[in-house]
Amino acid sequence: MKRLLIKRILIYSILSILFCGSIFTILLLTSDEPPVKEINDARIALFEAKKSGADQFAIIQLKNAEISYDSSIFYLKGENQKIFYKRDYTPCKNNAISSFQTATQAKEDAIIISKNFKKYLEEKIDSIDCFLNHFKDIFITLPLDKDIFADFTKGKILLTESKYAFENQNLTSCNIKLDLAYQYLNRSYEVAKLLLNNYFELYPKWISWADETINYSKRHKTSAIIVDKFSKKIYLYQSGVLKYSTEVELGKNWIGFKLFYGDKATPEGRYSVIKKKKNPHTKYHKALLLNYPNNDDKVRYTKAKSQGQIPGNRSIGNLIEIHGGGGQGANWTDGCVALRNKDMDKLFQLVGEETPVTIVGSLLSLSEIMNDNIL
Amino acid sequence: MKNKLFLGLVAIMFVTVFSSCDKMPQVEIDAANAALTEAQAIGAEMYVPQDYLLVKDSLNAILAKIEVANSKFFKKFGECKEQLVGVTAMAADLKGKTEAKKEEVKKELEVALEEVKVVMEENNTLFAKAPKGKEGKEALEQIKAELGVIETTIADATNMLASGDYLPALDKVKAAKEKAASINEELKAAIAKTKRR
Repeated sequence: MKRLLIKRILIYSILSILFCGSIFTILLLTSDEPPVKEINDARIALFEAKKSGADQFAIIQLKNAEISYDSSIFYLKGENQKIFYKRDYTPCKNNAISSFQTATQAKEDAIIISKNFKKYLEEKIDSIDCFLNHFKDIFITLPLDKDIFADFTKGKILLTESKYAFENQNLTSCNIKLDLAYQYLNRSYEVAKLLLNNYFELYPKWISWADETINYSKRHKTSAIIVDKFSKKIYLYQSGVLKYSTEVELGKNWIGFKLFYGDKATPEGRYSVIKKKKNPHTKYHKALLLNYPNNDDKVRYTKAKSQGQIPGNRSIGNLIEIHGGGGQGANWTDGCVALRNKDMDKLFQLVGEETPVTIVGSLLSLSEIMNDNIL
Repeated sequence: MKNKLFLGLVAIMFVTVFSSCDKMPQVEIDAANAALTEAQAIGAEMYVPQDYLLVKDSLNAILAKIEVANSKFFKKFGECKEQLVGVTAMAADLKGKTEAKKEEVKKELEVALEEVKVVMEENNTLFAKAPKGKEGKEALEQIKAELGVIETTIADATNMLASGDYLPALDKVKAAKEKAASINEELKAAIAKTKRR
């Protein structure tokens, strides 16, 4: 009897264990599995997106993809805390899928954006380079404040820096430096432009002086000289025909009229040669003395003096010449027009006393010079 | 006797089941995370970005794998542990690589700084020798302003070197060097011109 009872207990125990085991196995087999593939796909997509520069060019998408991935891992951890048959990995899977899709999109966008951004930067560098090259020749000759010149140099250095950053693929840094370079260059450009705009208000007068001088040369079958201060050129006409031209150097403050002695300005107006001088009568090889000051200069001087624009007891000045000693590569005279000695020899030969000399700001208009649409 | 045998078997089964469940390799996870953070702190992201991404991705892969292993009834972390040790070593390598790259950039920066300083010294000597007459005065004033800007750029780069900001400082010095070299040529040409006369 006792043996039978033990046998029955044993059988029931085995059956119970088998039953529980079966239930456990069924629950284990039917329980939700973590979305391994989706999580791996999302992780790889994130890696690829970062490799393609999404952290620079598709920041928001990448951030969203990372948030979805982190959420996916968060749900995975959360579900793992639960008993296995109660686990539901659907939110984890959905987040992993969303992360994969967003990261893939971020990668594609980053590739396109970085390509476009590179192109944009290349064009921006070219544009600022072009602006600088066009502008620097004008700029370095203008009598501008030292701070403006320093800004111009800072702009140039920043432009070079941005080119190095571009070479090293630091595109964001390159863009920042380009913007800074442009700010500095543009600041100096605006000052120069304002100065020139004011200066070129006299352009119609300059052109009429030049035309009158050429016509005079034609009518009287004589020589005439025109000095173009902006292009730093001297033109010799004979019987109204251009016979000779060469480069010149002027006074440091060459923009505007000459007002007084020592202002380092080259006068503007209609003059004539009153004396031809040779070494030792001039220290600049050979010289053509002009009849500065003319009546207009005197009127201007008197007006400026009455307005208190003439410092101290400065006189109107004199001894303005076209002379040798040029070729220094800068505007260095006290207001005279300097030519290279060999050019002076040639001019000296072709010009006599009483030759009309017209000095103008420019024979070209400002828009022709500046090409305003460059930026 | 049979009962005892049965109970013994059940006990062995329980011990086997529970002993086969591994513990989460938290120590190894912390070590790997710490090693990567160290590499990041010294600038791995900036100096060796691709290597940094690779190690970070490897760590993320293992962390995901650990969570997946954690979801199993019979938890096994042995392989993950080994991989974590591998990633920790990779992160240590990354730190070494970052330091080496940083050192390389730093040396390049120091050499460039020395070179530009030499050119600037020469520029200052040439500036003193440059024609001082009124012919060259205006050009010299412009050059002086340019030299001033270069000096400021060099000073900025030197400060960046001191604060460990090597890569942007290098671009700065290279640009300053280029400008200093062009001024050097300008000054030499001006002096040569004076000598010819």
